[in-house]
Amino acid sequence: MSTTATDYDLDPADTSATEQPRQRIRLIYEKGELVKFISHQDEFRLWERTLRRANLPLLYKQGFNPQPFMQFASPLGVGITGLREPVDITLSPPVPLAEVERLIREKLPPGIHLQTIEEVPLKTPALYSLLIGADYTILLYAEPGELASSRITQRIEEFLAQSEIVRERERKGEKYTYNLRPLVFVLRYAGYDSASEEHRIFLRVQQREGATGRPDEVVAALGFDDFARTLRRDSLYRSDQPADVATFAAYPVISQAEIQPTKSSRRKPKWGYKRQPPKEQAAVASGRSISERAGDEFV
Amino acid sequence: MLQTPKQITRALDRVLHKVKQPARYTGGELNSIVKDWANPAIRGKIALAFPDIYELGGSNLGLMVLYDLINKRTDLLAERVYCPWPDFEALMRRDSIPLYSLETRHRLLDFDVIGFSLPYEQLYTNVLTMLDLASIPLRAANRTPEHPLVIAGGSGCYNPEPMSAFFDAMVIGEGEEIIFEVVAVYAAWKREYGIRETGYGVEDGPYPVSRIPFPNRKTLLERLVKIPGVYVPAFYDVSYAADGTIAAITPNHPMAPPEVLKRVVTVMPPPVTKFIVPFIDVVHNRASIEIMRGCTRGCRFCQAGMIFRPVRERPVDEVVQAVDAMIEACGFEEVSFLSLSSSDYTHVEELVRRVTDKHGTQKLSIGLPSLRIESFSVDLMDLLEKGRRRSGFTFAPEAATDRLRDVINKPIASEDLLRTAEEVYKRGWTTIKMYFMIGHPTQTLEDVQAIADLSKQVLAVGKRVLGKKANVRIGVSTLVPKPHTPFQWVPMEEESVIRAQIELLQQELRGPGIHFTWNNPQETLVEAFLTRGDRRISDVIERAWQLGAKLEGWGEYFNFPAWQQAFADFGLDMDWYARRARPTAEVLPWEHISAGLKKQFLVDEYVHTYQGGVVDDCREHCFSCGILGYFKEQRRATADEAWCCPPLGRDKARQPVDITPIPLYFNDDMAPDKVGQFDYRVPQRRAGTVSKRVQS
Repeated sequence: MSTTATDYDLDPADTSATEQPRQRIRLIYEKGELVKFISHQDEFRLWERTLRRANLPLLYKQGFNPQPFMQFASPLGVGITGLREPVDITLSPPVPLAEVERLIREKLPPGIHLQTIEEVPLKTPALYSLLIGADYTILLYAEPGELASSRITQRIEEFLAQSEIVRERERKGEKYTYNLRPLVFVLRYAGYDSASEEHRIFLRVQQREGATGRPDEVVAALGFDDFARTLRRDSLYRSDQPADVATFAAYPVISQAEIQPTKSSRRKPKWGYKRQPPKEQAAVASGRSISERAGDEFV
Repeated sequence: MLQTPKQITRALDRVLHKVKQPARYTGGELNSIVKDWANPAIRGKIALAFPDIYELGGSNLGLMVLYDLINKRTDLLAERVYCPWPDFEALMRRDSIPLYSLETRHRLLDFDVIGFSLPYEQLYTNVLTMLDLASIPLRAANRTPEHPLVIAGGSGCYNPEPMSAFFDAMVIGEGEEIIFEVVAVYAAWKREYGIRETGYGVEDGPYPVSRIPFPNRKTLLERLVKIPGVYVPAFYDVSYAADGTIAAITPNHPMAPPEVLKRVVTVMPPPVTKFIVPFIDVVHNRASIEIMRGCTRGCRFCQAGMIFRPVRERPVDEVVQAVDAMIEACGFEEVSFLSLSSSDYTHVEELVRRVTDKHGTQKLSIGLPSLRIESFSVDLMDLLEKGRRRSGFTFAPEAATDRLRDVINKPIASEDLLRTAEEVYKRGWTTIKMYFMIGHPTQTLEDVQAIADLSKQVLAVGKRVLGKKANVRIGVSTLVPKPHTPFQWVPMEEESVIRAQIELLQQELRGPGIHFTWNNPQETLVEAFLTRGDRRISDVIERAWQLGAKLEGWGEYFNFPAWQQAFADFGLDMDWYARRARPTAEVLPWEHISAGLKKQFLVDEYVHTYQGGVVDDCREHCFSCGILGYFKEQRRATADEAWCCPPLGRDKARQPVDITPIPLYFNDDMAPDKVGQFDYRVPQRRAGTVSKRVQS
């Protein structure tokens, strides 16, 4: 299911038998408030279905479980929206761009809006490999008087004053710690809007493989996890855009080693590791997705 | 309690980020239909309630069908409501958020009719959770005209008694026509008495109440009971004998019929094509199209096969067109053709061929569950290979010895199973899933051992063909005797015997390549007394719910002690309901509900159980199960091919007809002295597979 792991460059062994011409299209879209709570996997499926409704010839990879040629720059998770998110898709055979735009606009579900669409060369590097940074607006919902602006500015000051803010995350069942602070380049209170009852905080972080600043982590580190909020990604900065490069030239490039000096040290189980006897169904069932559990019951 | 959609939305905004899968509660999906509540043309507002969480209700076809049908009418609207997960439920109670509909976030109290779906018993307590969150009195007797009409439908209604205290009316049978009749009656009653003109306009605030002094809800129930297929529990009295069994179920109102006959739609309406496309992952995240309703096989344990008669097939063209329309409207990557026995759908091969030819390149995956082993077409497997991955196939032999197969009337040959398994593995599919049942009448440990042996034989076939990759998934469930089946008098097996059988299988079915799952015997017991219970179980359900029973279908919330305590509080015994063998003369709690089957037919089949008599597929040979008797007029009104029952009228004999089910043969071990129509084993479908092979 992961789209970031594969190299977008077309593997010669992977081409379909018919060798039809291909077309790579970059869509810039908005994931809005209405679909704030869907995960990246949900979003992936949403796009796949939109293209199927539009009857556009999305190209699929070969193999047992064919995945579509569809690649996002960086996943937006649950609770995160995005104003200008890019996704690359490959169609085969090519379709006139105006037609693609019309059909997609017609078939998009509520909550997702297409901003722009352009054709890009087939050999363009994968979006995820081009990222250097991101801007977010953190919207904290609070009634007037519920959360003082001064408290927010104070917490931001305290945050920025530290050189090390250690956070713990889990990845594939393994916990690891990392230093969040260097990844945060700008953190600034942007005022309270009484009409929509939200505090706004501007955040600029690095976005690179292995060293990405996450807005939900920043909110947690600031101590505002209890408030309802929207984390809105306003921009993604890419290394192939000169303007973006210029903006980020002011900031250092933080490597993974700098923020995560000691990787977790759990060894992989040895070959021939004995399986546990099957436990009671309830214990086994937890931790698996709904569809997997249903898959036990039905076809 | 919060009241308006706006207030509810504000409250939601503040808590949704704290719960698991908040998208369950937000709505807004593609193809969900939002109508304007202020539109004066809207005369009826219906909430379709599925008593489980969104992920389980999201793909439920029954709900979707009604949603689609109701919303097509310009004078009605339908919105959905599901049961919240406990974390959200706790926050709802804490913040006074009432249960609301997904589309417009109106409280359930603002609707006219709330229709609950009762597909299986483990959802019963969730109904109470939802009513409680909606501030609607749990018991129908305590409701006033201010409260919406609360009705139920679905297969759980075939024994409506355990839930009878909580519903004003329960619909028996198919809902596509009756839902409009119920809503029409309600709307007329409301107009006549000027009741419940409260409501909310576009933004905030109630608009004025205008009502004249109103009578109690009984006037509404009196009108509803006149609709055929509507069961109003309040109009029936149940009296008990000294030993606790039922003495009689008698109507206490002149308009209530002594027996409520299920509703049957003569011809299935066109299938739903504009499915709601969930944002999040739901169980069966796909489009479902019903290709056939009903089943002619007559397996004795199967309630669905008994209650969904007669068999009506959808025309192939209609299904193919529906697939096209569905892709354009929804874009699902998988479409599943639902029926009780898909191999028995006359044009199954043509259907699969046409759909894969047209949509294979879009990687559309086709699901075809409920395949029979005996009439399984090898070509079908090849066709199903196009499209996306499927890991393998599922079969449901249910029994592993010939004797037991004769007992349950599901005869297959083990060689057929092994041969089919080989064909599946040969084509590269790695997984075969098989369902078996334990607790069948006359089942011995030998029969259970045979399950293990057969599973290992199938795995051996796989290993021979595919090597280490081959695997087998065995699902073993415990037989729960269901109402309106020949097994409805059978006792459920003792728990010690079940545990012994499970232990045997646990020991045998281990090792690489075998994955064995079974049901918790306590969960099965709860299902059993809920499905075979009488009216007194209503009290038990309410009590258990008060003690914390909920979400029985989810292992992590299953609360057996609550049920034990509830039974103790009312001086009742679980085993008496679940495990007692019932004499055929006993008045069963569902005596007054008819599935269209003659009692004599069920009794004959019950007797055949213990003789191992195997009965024909009724497409070959009609046994007058009762459907044609009860639904004469409807049968006459339809084309000959529309039903798989014989057409009525002279010169129309299609298959032989008998007035009792005469077995093809009897099992040698169980009834050596009896001879059926044949004195050797013959397959149920002697004319070969019903599927018409496509001329290539």
